[in-house]
Amino acid sequence: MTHFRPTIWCFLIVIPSIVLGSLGFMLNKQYLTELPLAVVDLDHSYLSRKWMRALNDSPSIDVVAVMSATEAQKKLHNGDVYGFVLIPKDFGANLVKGSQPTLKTVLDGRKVLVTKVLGKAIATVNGQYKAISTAAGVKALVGEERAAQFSAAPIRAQLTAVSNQTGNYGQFLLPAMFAAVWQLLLIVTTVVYLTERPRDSLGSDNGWSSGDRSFKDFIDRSFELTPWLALQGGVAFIVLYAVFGWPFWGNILVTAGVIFLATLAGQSLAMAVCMLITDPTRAVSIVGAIAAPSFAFLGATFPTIAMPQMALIWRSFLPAAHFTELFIAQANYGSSVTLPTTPIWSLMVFLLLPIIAYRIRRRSIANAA
Amino acid sequence: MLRDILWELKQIIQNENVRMTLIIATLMYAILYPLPYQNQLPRDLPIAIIDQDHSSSSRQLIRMIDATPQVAIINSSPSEIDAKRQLQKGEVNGYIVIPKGFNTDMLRQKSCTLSYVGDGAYYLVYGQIAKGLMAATNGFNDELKHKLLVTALPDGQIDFVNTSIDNAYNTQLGYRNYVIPGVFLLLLHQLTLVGMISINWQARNREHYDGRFTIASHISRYFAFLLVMVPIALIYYKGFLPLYAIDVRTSFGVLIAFFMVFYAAVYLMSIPISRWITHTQWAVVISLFTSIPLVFSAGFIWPKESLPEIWNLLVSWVPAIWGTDWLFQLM
Repeated sequence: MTHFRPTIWCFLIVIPSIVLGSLGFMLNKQYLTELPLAVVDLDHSYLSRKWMRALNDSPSIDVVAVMSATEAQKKLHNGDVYGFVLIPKDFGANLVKGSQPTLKTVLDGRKVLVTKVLGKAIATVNGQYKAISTAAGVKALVGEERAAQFSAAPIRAQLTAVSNQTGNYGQFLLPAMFAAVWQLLLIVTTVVYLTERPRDSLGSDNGWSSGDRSFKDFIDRSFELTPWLALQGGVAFIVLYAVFGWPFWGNILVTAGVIFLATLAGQSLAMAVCMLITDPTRAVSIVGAIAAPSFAFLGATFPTIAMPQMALIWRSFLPAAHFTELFIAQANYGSSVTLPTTPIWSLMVFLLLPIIAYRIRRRSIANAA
Repeated sequence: MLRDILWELKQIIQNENVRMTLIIATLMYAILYPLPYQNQLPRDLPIAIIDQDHSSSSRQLIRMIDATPQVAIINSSPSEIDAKRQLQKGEVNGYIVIPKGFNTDMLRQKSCTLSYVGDGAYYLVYGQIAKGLMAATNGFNDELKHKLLVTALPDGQIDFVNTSIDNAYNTQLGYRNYVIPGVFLLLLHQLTLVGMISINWQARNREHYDGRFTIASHISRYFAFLLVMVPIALIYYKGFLPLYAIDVRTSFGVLIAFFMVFYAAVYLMSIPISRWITHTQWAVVISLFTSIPLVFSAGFIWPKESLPEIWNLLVSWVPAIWGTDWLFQLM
């Protein structure tokens, strides 16, 4: 194990520390707060200012007061604010009269996550007023608290999230990001190790895999890395959950098994590519091309159920996708449930890839000779 | 000068790895990346419903929930334990419980609470189902209010303030429009960087370019890259994006000017990296591992306000970061 070159140690320790460390650091706020939202107050009344203050009190919003709608539009276009609210001229007067003023809100739809958070925050601020006023109105009519509550909202929906209860964005993004990056790391590390060039021939581009290697040679060389790569994944997730203090419901042994299987699956993919493509740069490019877009296909941000068939086919070629499914099931639901079986079988299928690739390699060498 | 540019162009096209990265990979990714988001938004998400009330009103509510575009009720489960198991296995994305006494409470005019349980780890799905459920309960409530005493109230008392929310640039909040314009610039950034590092690395190892020709040769190499990469950028923003129904109002001239500056910055970045690495394999590695951090630093997926100040400062010089801001203003 100590015979690894510095490059490999760099892949095992330095690169994951930098990449995963930066990701954790970047998203350490976990929630979206203080999003700049322009407010154009054309009313300048006591009530409009009160409403603006309520909006500013929302943790998600940072109110930026602007003078005109044109200015607000310009700010939105330049990306200085994520949207604007227009308080109409007779807002206060209409409220007092009891007729409904309309607040026109425009949000930057290109930034979906921000738009959702802002929309929710604005609705919450309005909802507070609405509930109070409706209840008060009914109470005045029928003089009864319970009826008042009822008419404000006869049926209420209570929303409960079984995992990630607080709607923490970090908790839903980071495990998926870690899974994607770790898979990419272990695949690339294996390829770099299998295509390593001998020290003395710096001019030549022929790496280890271009030599006369038996199937066992490939397996042996890849296995040297296996424990380190599995350990790398394990440590990364332990650090992630420990640093952020998120609950982990999974069984440690089952999770370790899942990580080990995912390591073997990723390595098998790397091995198969190296058996067929001996050029070091091209081999890395090919595995990179397959594994790099993983994050989009994982299903953590955009659900698999809404993906078209073609996307699902591509997804099935990504070990990271199957791993994430298993890992999230473990982390969130724990050992009380049996693991979903499809991803386990899918990961096992990857183990067959080197056998097929080696046959093709033998045949092409025989043809060349 | 022109001959130098053509000579450099030949170097780019003759290098098989670079040719694959700049032409084949860019075109492949332009099709592959938007693939998951083709449907823009999840629809008809499967949920289970547990009707403990078995009344005509509970059945009416179920029909209203099922009618929303966001959810589809696939299963009326007898027990919450079953539904929970289905949720954990991923067969349904959430479940709704209509409590016993739903109908009687309503007749007695007592508020009643439905509960929805979903998986918060899949945030988008959770939010979509909640949206559908809220729409259905609001509809149900409105109907109820009309039937009951509340009709006596003046309108203004029912809705305090009306809010109309418009989503500029992406009215449906579709995911493809959200992710793709930014990701495309990042793809061009990462793939061009690999190509530029590789070619500069190759040139560094060629004696011919050592010494006094360096600046002139860098300039012709940059123009040679423009000849390949500007057309690809135009195919991205004037070909693929309109094909994916994403509006690009920028004119060809402005786009070309933008990409000339953008690629110049990427080129400048590639020079020190190409001197520092020992093999072109590293160009690919650098590009692979910086991709996810850069996507989340560019501000279109995750707002910059929610990133640490120091991180924003650290990445602000990267062309993909300021390029995204700039391009979004132009679009």
